[in-house]
Amino acid sequence: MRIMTQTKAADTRQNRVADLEERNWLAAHLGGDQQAFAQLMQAYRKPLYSFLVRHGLDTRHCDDLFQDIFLKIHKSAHQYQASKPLSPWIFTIAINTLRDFQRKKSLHLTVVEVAETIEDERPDPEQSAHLTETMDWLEEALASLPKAQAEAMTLSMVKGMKIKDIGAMLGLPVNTIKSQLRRAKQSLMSAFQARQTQHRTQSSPSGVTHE
Amino acid sequence: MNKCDHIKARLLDLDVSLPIRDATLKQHLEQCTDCAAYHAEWVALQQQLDQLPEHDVSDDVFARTLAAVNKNQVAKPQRRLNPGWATGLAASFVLVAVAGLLYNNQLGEFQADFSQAPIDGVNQSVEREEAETQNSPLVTFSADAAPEASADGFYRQRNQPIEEPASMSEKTAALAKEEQLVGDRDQDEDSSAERIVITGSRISRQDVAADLVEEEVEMPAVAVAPPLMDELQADHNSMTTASDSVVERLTKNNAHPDNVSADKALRRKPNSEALLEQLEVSRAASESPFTDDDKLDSAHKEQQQIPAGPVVEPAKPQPRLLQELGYEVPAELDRMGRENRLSAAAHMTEGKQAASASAFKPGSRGEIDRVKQKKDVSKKQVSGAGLPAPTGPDGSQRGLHAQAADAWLEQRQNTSGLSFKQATGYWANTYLPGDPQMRWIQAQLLASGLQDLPQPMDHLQPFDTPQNAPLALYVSSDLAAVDPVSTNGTRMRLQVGIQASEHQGGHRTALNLAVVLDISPQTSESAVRALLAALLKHKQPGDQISVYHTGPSGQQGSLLLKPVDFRHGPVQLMLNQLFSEPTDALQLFWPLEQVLPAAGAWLQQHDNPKAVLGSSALWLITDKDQQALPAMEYWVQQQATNGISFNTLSLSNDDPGRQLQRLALVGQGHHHVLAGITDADRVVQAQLKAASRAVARALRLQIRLADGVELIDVLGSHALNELQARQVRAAEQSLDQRMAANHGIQADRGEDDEGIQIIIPNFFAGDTHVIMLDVLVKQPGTVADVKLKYKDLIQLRNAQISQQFNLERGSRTMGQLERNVLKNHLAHHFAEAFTHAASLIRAGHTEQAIQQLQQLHDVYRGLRQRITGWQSDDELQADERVIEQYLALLRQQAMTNDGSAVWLAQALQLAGWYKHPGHGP
Repeated sequence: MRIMTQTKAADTRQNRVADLEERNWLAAHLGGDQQAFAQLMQAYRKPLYSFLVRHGLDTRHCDDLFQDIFLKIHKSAHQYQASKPLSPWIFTIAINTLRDFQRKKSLHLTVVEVAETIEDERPDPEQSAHLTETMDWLEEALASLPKAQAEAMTLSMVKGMKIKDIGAMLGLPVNTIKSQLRRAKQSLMSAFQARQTQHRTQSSPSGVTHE
Repeated sequence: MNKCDHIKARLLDLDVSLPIRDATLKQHLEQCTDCAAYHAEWVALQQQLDQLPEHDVSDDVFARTLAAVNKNQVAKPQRRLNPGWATGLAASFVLVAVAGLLYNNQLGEFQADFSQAPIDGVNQSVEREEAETQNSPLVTFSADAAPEASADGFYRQRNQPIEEPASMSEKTAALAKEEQLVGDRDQDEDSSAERIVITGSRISRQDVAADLVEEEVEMPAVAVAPPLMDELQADHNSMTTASDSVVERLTKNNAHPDNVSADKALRRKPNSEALLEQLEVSRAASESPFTDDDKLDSAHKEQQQIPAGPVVEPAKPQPRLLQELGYEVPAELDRMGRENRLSAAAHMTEGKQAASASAFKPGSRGEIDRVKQKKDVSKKQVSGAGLPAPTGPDGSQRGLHAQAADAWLEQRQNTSGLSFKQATGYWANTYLPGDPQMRWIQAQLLASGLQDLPQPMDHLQPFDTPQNAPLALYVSSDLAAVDPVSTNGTRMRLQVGIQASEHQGGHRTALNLAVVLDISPQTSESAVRALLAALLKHKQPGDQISVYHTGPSGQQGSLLLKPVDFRHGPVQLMLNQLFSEPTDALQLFWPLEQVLPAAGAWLQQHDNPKAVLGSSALWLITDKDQQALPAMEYWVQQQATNGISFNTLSLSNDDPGRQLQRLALVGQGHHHVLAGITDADRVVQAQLKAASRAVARALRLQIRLADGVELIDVLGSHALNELQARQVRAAEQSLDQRMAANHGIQADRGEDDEGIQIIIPNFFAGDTHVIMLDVLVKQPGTVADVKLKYKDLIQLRNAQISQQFNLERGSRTMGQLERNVLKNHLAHHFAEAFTHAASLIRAGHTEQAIQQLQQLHDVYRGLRQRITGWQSDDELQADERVIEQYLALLRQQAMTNDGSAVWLAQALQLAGWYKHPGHGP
């Protein structure tokens, strides 16, 4: 236990050092250091892209939004105050960009729904079976959470993100974020328990092999 | 909301990586199975969430985004000043400047210079163009400059609001031009300080100050008044601080005590023991082909297997063990034992001394034997060979039995002259089900017509089979309380039992199997036919079985049968053709070195990486240990790490198949011995079900003895040395990583625990395992904390069970649980005595072996008389009968000396192995 505690403390200190280092990237970028922004992009490419994917967006939209977000970061670089952590600032831009996109998308869909006959887009049984096999159920469950819960949950999954930061990003009180997180976890637990029950049924000795 | 709902809601807020500290919550979880199950599920879900894969953008999109960002010139930070503040600042600045000039009576000169200041025509036109397009926010405060300044011109009037560029790129370009302009002006020899001041006002005074210092532009003393210069210098200092912050702040932060300590910790880390160990482990792993859990198996096997076969030298028993068992110890052996103990005592580490700080003993690895005050302990003198059967003091057999039992019990409780071991570090695993060497002995006995030799029964352990988990943990001892009178402490056996669920992984998964027949002229056709017939019988839909051979080379290569042809007809036809080949043709066979990789490549092609471990397998059926086998070890190990296990099946009746067994261990598979045609069905079934029988993997058992509890021994086990411990750790981590990759069970290993650590690679459905510790308890209270971590193969998650064992002061009454532990200890004694008797017979000391078994028999009989409830115990009576039968056989053999001693030794060893509480069937 003592070894684990020491390791955690060392990790925390390392994270702190890393945090301080990344706060200088935008200043260096503004100072003309081209490597600084590349460094920033490299550090945030996976967390940001994962954040987008976990909202159930397809690859094309994720790529577009990824570009938009980093261009916005570049354009707003002078607004960043190095006295504050960089991660929440970047994810604030990300969440706002995502919301803009979702709003535009929903407007677009509304027009389409009115204008055209809506086709049944549900996957056929074969596709469903394929989806079940290939898609990670957990990411599916995350993407199907209500929007507010999904935002809180996906942000909470970003390494080092605190509830206080999430509240500031989403403009909500900390207690509201906690409630949303709890509801999201309950939804995920329900999905998990359903899956476990299904798994046990499939693997029971009397069951048929599903391999 | 009822209490459970409230608890569940609170559970969701907990950090699962930390232990639950809330006593109420902890207590509720211990009592409420529903909430405990909910918590376990939440932990499992959280672990899955934690290990969700990170998605990554394609390198192409990344590069395009970076290019788009770089296309726009990097913008200088631009402060948006409130126009009011800007005006005020400018006005005050002018006032200060004018006041300075008036003070020096140089206003006229200044005005003259300013009005005459030439602006380079080219620069001016360029600047104007730029200003027109970019609407650059330049400020002038001289009415004389007005001719060129207009609302649309290069200069704008004071108080005119600053307009932002239309776009970031335009703004960036504009600012870049401005910088260029300022730079040009600074370099202009004719440019005066005043101009610099003016231009500085339109960018920032900080920039000017920076330029002053960095470019070392000479400033005429008359140009700027001392107060202004001071102000500029102050601004410069502040700006320098700001500009250096990128590097300096980090440096300063690093200089912070916290960061310094972090830095030290980071620097210290490579020197730390843990990292060194890891490095050494990885180095050892890279050097050795045994990098996976086969290393674990092999390490344990090598240490644990009872020597078998006539070629095996009898293991030399330790002096202390001999003394405990009542043997005469040769003086030389006893001296060596004492020297070893003293040598170990010299290596006492500080870990032991630090133990007092904690209730439990942390500490370093290594054995520490402390030889306590040595007293003369009366030992039984072993009678010489051929002596008449001894009698008790009262001349009756009953008295002799009671005496033997008392002596055994007394020796178990003896607290003087003990040496203790350190209860830390890694210890050998004793759970070794299906030891192939024992199978080989069994096959030998069967082939020799000695299958009717008596074999003891396994003791039935009073462990409930878990219903909702694959494993259950039971901790008990052979005493119900600590002796209230004894000042030396109470000696007892602490028993840790593991019981697996009967629940298996359902039907076995579809097999992806390649069978390699290593055919030679001596190969038994009937055995091969029997094996393939059994395989056909147990084949399920979905199984893909192909057959390769090392026989004559033909057009089809070494592949005899494709999976689609693995049916009764084609198999019979193939076998007919194979065994009807002339003997000469068999000389031109495909070598094993070529056939195995061909079969492996086919398996690799058809391997499903998500299938259960062991579902892709290669079976080598052979009747001999080949020269080529050791050279194949590396390849076999590589296959195993890729998920294809390597199994060997020996058709030989007279070969222990050591190379085959080693290859199977390296290949994370099993080695079987076919003990005749009728054994084929058993062998095939055992092999087929092996993959689906495991309910847990990577078991890590941690036993922490409380302060005041001394370890005398872990029965049947031993502390691993540094190299073995490294191998075990490396194998555990490899298993951990592979389970994470194949089954999505989060990797959680890598840390050593306190106390005794035992790693068990696999645990199979329905199995029971017992680990016994001989301990001396000095005070009542907590005796031990036991924790079992494992990879749950049924629910695919990490699981953990913890138990604490406490004893209070009281009388030494024995309940059923205590009697069970005593019986297991007796079984251990039985196993040791039988194994030693086998060694004595091999060494030609049959009479001593008889004496050994006679003593054991007396102990059994005496204990049955002494202990309530054991008089009519079926298991003990059966054991007694087994001992009696072997005694009769040995006496007969001693009389006739007909050469059957070697078979009796084999049988005794097998019987001892069966009886050992830790060994599976």
